[in-house]
Amino acid sequence: MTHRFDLPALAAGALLTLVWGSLMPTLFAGRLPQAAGEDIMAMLLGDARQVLSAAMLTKADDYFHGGAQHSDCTHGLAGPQGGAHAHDHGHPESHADEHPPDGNAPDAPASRDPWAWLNARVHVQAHRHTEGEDARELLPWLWAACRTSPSNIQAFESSAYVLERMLKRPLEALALLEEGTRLNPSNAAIEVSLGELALHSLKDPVRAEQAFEAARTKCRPAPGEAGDDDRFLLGRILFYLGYLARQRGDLDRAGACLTEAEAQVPDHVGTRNLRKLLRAPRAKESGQP
Amino acid sequence: MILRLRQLAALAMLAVLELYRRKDLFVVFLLAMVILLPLAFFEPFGVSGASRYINELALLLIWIFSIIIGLGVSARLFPPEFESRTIYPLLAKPVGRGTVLFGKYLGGLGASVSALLVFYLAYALLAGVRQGAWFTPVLLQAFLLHVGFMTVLSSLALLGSLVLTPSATLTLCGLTTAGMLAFGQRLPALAAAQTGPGRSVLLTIHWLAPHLEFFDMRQRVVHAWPCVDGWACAAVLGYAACYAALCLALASRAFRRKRL
Repeated sequence: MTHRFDLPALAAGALLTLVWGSLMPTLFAGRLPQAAGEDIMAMLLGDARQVLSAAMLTKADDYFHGGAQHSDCTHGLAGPQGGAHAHDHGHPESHADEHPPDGNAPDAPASRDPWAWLNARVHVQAHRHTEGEDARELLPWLWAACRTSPSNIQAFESSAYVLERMLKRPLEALALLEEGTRLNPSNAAIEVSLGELALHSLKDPVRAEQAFEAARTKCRPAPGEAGDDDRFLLGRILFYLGYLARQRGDLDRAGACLTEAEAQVPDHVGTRNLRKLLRAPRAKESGQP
Repeated sequence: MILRLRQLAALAMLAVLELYRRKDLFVVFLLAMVILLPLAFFEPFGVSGASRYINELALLLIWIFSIIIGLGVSARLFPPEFESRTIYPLLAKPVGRGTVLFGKYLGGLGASVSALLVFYLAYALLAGVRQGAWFTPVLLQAFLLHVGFMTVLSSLALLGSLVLTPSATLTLCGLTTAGMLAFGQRLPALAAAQTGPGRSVLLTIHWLAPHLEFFDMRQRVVHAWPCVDGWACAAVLGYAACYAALCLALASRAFRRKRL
C-alpha cells in the first residue's frame, strides 16, 4: 500500500525542495550566510584565499629566482622592493658571483655540521634570474595568484609586468589589467599600471590619460603616515597627467597638475620632474617620461 | 651462502608480489594521471609553453605516492604475519630470524623501488614529450637519491612495525617524513632562534632524526640546475646505508626478543 505513494511523494518532495530553494534568496535577501554571485573560490576558501594567493605569488617569485627562495635578493616579483618593477631600478645585470653554475653557494662558510654541509651541497643555495621566454614558467603561478584572490593587486601588477616587459605581450597584459580594474573598481594602483602600459607599450596616450584620470579620482590619500603610499601614487598620477596634458599642448591643464602636485606632494620625484618639464622649452623635452 | 641468498630472494619476491597483488600502484598511478593530464593542457593567460609547474606537481605526486607506498608496504611486512600466525610455519623452516627480517626488508624495498621506477619512467615520458628532455643526468641522480630515501624509509617503517602497532607506525613515520622534508634543512636555524630546552630538543632532533631532505632533488630537476657533485651524492647514499643499517640492527634485536 505504501509503495504506491512512494514515487509521487518523492516527486512532490523534490518539487517542494526546488521551489523552496528558488524562493530562499528572494525571501531572505541579505540575510543568507553567503552573498549571491560569489565565486566558488570565495565560498570554499573565504579569507584564506588571500593567504593562498600570496603563497602563489611567492612561488612565482621563487620560479623567477630559479626555484630558490631569496628574500635577501633585491630583484624580484614580490621582493623587498615590493612590486613587479623592482627590475627597472638599478639592476646590475651581471652579478655572476650570485649565480654559480652548479647552484651551490658561492662562498659557503665551512661548516662543522656535516648535515648542514650536505644540505648545502644537495639543495641549491644560489639563485639566478629568469629572462626572456623562460618567463612563461612564472605564468601558471601568477595566474593562480590572480584567480585565487582577485583583490591581490600585486598579483595583477606582477602578472602584467611579466606579460608586458618579459614576454612582450602588452595586449594580454592590458586585458589582465582591465579585468583587474573591473574586479577592483576602487583601486587606483591598478589604473596607474594600466595607464603606464598604455603609454609605454601601446603608445596610446588617450587610453593612458583615461586610466590616469580614473586613478586620480580613486586615489584619496588618508592623512598622516597611513596615506604615505597613496600620496606617493598620487605624485606619479599627477606627473603623468601633467606630462600627457603638455604633450597635447594643454599647458593650463599641465600647470594645474603641477599646482596640485606641489600642494599635495611637494617632495615627490614626479613633482620635481613635472616642474622641470614645464619649465623646459618644448624642443628640449624628452620623448618619454 | 647460496642457500641464504635463495631464501632472501624468495622472501623478497613475496613482498614484491604482494604490492602488485593489492593493486596500490595502479590506483596511485591512475590518480596521478587524472590530476596531471588536464593540467598538461593548461595555458595561463592564453600563453602556452610553461612546463616547470607540471614537472613540479608531477614530482610532488611521485614523492607523496612513494611515501604512501613505501610506508604501506614496509609497515605491513610483519603485523599480518603475526595476526594470522603465518610467522610460525615460516620460522619453523630452517631459516634464521635475521634472514627473515632482511629478506622481508629487501622485498619491501624492492617493491617500493619498482613502484618508484614506474613513476620516474612516466615522469621521463611526460618531460620527454613536452620538453624533449627524456633522461637527463640530474633526473637519474634524483632517482638514485630517491632510492636512498626509500632505503631509509623502509627500514624505519620495518623497525616501527616490530615495536609499535601498525597505525602508530604509519602515523609516526608519516609525521617524521613530512616534518623532516619540510623543516630538516632549517633545524639548525630554528634551534639557534630558541633558548632553553627547546633549543636542546631541536638540536637532538637535528643530530638523531633521519635527514630525509638530503634525498630531495626536486628543485634541481624542475629548474634544470646541474647534478649534485659526486662526493656529496656518495656521502648522502652512505648516510642512507648507515641509517638503514642502524634501523635494521635495532629491528633485528626487537625481532629476536619478540615473544611469538
